[in-house]
Formats: sequence, structure tokens, C-alpha cells
Amino acid sequence: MQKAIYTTVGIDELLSHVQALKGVGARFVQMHAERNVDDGSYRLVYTFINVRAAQEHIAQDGSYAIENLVVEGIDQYQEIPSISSYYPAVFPFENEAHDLFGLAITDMQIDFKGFFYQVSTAEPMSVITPEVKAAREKAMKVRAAAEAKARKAAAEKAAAAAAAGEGTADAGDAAGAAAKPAAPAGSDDQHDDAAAKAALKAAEMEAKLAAMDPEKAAKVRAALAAKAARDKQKKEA
Amino acid sequence: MAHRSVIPFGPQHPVLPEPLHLDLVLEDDRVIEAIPQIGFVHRGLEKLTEKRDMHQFGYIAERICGICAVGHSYGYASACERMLDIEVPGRVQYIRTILHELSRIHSHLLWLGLLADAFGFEALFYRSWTLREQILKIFESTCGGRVILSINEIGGLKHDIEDSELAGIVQTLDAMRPDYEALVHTFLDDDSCGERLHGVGVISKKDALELSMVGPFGRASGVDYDVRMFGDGAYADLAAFEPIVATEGDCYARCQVRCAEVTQAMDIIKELVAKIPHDGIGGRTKLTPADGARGEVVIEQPRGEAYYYVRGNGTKNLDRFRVRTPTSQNLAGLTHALQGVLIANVPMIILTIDPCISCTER
Repeated sequence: MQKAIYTTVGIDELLSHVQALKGVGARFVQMHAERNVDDGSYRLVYTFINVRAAQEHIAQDGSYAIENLVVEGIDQYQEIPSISSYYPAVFPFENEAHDLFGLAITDMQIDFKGFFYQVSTAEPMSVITPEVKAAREKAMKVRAAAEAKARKAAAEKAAAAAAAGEGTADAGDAAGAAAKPAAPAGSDDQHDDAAAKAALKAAEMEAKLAAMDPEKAAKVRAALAAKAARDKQKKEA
Repeated sequence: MAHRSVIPFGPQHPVLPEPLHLDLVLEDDRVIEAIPQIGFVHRGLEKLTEKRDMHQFGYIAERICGICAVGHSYGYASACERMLDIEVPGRVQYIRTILHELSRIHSHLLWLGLLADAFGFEALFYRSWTLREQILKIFESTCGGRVILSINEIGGLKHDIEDSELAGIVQTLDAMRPDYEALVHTFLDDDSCGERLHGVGVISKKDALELSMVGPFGRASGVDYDVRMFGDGAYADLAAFEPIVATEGDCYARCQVRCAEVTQAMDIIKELVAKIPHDGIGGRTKLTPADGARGEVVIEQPRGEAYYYVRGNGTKNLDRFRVRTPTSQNLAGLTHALQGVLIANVPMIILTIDPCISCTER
């Protein structure tokens, strides 16, 4: 069974960690870059497998580890030292990170100076599209709504448990007390559910609009506003 | 004094089915340096995760390459399952492994055919591909496609392969063995093959380890590393597994390793078919990765270790998909193997690393 170990290291510690892995005979597997949608920073992941250690672990408990060094929070023009002096096989991946993400990797053993890939758009993998941003924002809103709902449910459960505890002295009163708050709590829940659904629907619509052509989005917004006005009039009538 | 010149090799060359370019620095007719260049057909498939959800992307992952298609869909699905914390039934693991090993047989037979074609032994080329055709027919009869099988999905398989069909696969492989052994005898014992392969493009074990070489290319130099030996999935249930290793490190050793791996794959399939469990084939699952959840796997593709990595962002699309294919890892080894060789041997050496540019240009 494969296990993954992720160790976050700073840029200045990267080479010493790589040297240590090389020292224990770890194989280089790959290196890749990622872009963080939220803050626009970059992340580098270097992957290694220590085959001998893996075989020993497999003999002991049937599992082995893929070891990853993760460098977080990299700015685009921050200099990143190449590990090609330790692992020459990294050169295609470092050149790729440079060409596709625009990362500044220094002292590469084979440096194609930006001509490893023939790209028509500069740094294509670093582009964060409006669709991706909108989907990400929607996911965050949905998650926040779900968390809020879960928090509220937990609080209500705790309150109900406390009320039940107080009421054990008088069974008759307790039954009444339990019955009375049940109705308003239920109506609150329904109200919250409806509000959460409406918020979710609005967030979904916003995400769709963000992904649309701006002209079309403006037309859709106008149509939605007109519909809302008509609905309001009908209600008032 | 030797005359120094630079010769561009590729991207269009009879020995290269795909575009790979090498700048060969020569002294007279001996290569002193080779600088590879790829990127002519880079497709940016990793970026497509933004447009296609995880299930849809399975179809794209499978199309990274036409030879390693089964392995790519297997690796991608396994990485996603790890990220989503899904455990697939044993039957799914067995069927995936059986198809993956069949894919290894067809890939190696394809390579043997190309090798024979490269040194002008056309009859051997025809015989290799005739045998390969039988594997493609197995794919067609069990999955409906000869190259793209579309059977793997996140959480399981799209359809089962009946026990009777699996028994038929074993029968076909058993029937292939005598022809295959005769083919291997020609490749390994015929003088006309041996003269083109012995002592050409030698890489020592020390250099192979230093250059992190993978697959038959590395194992031919004595690197006893094959991901299957870690015993993931159905490989754990094999009675024994030993990587096939040679020590000479030349083109002949690479041919020898691949020839033996075909027989090994046939044995693995036979053993797995005999042991296959009947615990269902799983099915499509809901895509709910946690924000920042990661999954990664390494598998042994026909050309060597391949790495798959996925990262979720709380939506049904992946934040990042990464595939590191064996050829990209072996580029450093290729440049090393070409140093000091005669220019006449360059095509043979390039061929014996079995470069897959489609995989590299994902």
C-alpha cells in the first residue's frame, strides 16, 4: 500500500533536503509546479522514493512511502535553485516549470532558456480563468453555508439537551417545555433552509454569470431583475 | 584534428514515429553531445481539468497516449480514488491489472516489431505485429475498443469481464506462446539482430541510478526497480514477483528484458485469472474531494514507472492533475547513452529507450 508523505520546506532549505535524500539513496520521481487560485502564489512539489527503505517497510507492514518535498508560497519572480546537480533527470521538469508557469529556476544543468516548449501563450499554466475563480468562490460559499448550518444544528442540539436536563425534575413541565420550543425551532430551521437554498441558488447564478460573455451576462441580469419585479408585483396584488 | 559539426536529428526521421528533435554534436562521425528538444505537439492536457470534471477527465487521461492508454486510465482513476478515499473491490483491481499486463504485452510486441523494422528485418516485424494483433482482438472482444478501452472509471469499472472471457484470454495467450518463443529466439539468437544490438549504447548501473532511469531501459543496466515489486493492488496476491534485470546495459540487454517481460506478463495474467474474486465491479462515485485533498500513485507502465498526482479544490474539477511519464524521466538517460556512439547507431539507441512522445507531450 502506497502512502504519501508531504514535507513543507522553505526555498532556502530545499537543496539541503534534496542532498539528504540523495545521501540515503532516494530515487527522484518527478517535480511539478502548481498555482494557488486563492492568493496567486506558486507551489513546487518534488517527489522521491527510497526503494530500499520501501522494501524494508513492505516486509514489515506491507506499506511504503512516496516522499514529497513541498515548497509553498513562491512568488513568480522569486529565484528557485535547481536540483539538477543532485538529480540530472529533473531537467525536463524544471524547464517545464519555467516555460509553462514562468518560474525562475536558477543554475539548471540543461537550460533551454524558455524554448523547451513551443507555447503560443506565455506561461499558459499560470493563467487563472474567470470560470475557475467563480467555481472556486462558489465552492467556498457552499462550504461556508454547510459549515454554518452544521454549527447551528450542533448548537440547537446542545441547547435541547440542556433543556431536557433541566426538565427532568418535573416530567409534566418538561413535556410541555419540549413541545413548545419544538415548533419555533422547526420554523427557524425551515426558514434557514430556505435562506441557505436561496443563497446557494444565487451563488450558482453568479458563478454562471461570471463565466458568461459580459454582454450576455448583462442581458441575463436585466431579464432576472424584470422577473423579480414581476413576481413582487404579483405578490402585492 | 577531428572535425566538429552539429547535426539536427528529427523531428521528422524514419525511425521516429513521433516528433522528437535532437541536436547531435559530432566529432567526425562520433556523437559527443546530444541535446533533446520536445514540445512540438504539446497539448496542455493537464490544464483541461479546469474544463472537464473528474469523471469526464478520465476519457482525456486515457487519450494521453494510444499505447499506454489502459495504464493512463488506471493510474488516473487510482490517484482520484486515493484522493477521495475510495477502496475499490478486489475484482476491479484484478481486471485493471490483467488489462494493464495485456497492454504491456501489446506495447512490447509493438516495440519488437519497430526494432526489427529499424534494422531492416521485415519478416520479423510482420511476425511481431501479427502476434500483437491477437492482444488487440482480446481488447476488442472484451471491451469493444482496440486501443481506447474506456473500462476504468473512478470507483470501479464500467462493465465486468465475464469469467468465461477471462478463461478465453488465458487460452489465447497459451496458444501464442510457441510462436512468441520462436520470435524471441530470432531476436536474441540470430546473428543479424545481435550484430546491431550487442555493445551499442551502453549505460552502466551506476549511471542508470544517477540518471534515475526507469523501466526496461533502467533494468537492462542492472537497476532492479519495478513498481510492481511493491505489491500494490492485485500484484500483492501474486505468489512471487521479481523484476527482470540484465547487466550489460546495451541495446541487446534492453531487447532481452522486454522479451522476458512479455512472458512474465503472460504468467501474471494466468495467475490472476485463476485467483480473481467475485466481489463486484464498484461503480461511479460522487465527486466530493476536500479542498486541498491530494492523491498520488506510481504504476509500472510498459515503458517504466509513471507517476499520477491529483489535487482537489472542493469542486468537481481538479485543481491540478500531473502525470509524469517514463519517457520524460528517461530523457537524461537518452542523452547519456548517445555520448560517444557512432552516428549510424543513433537511431537504434533512440529506439531501444522506446520513447513515447505522446506521453511526454501530454
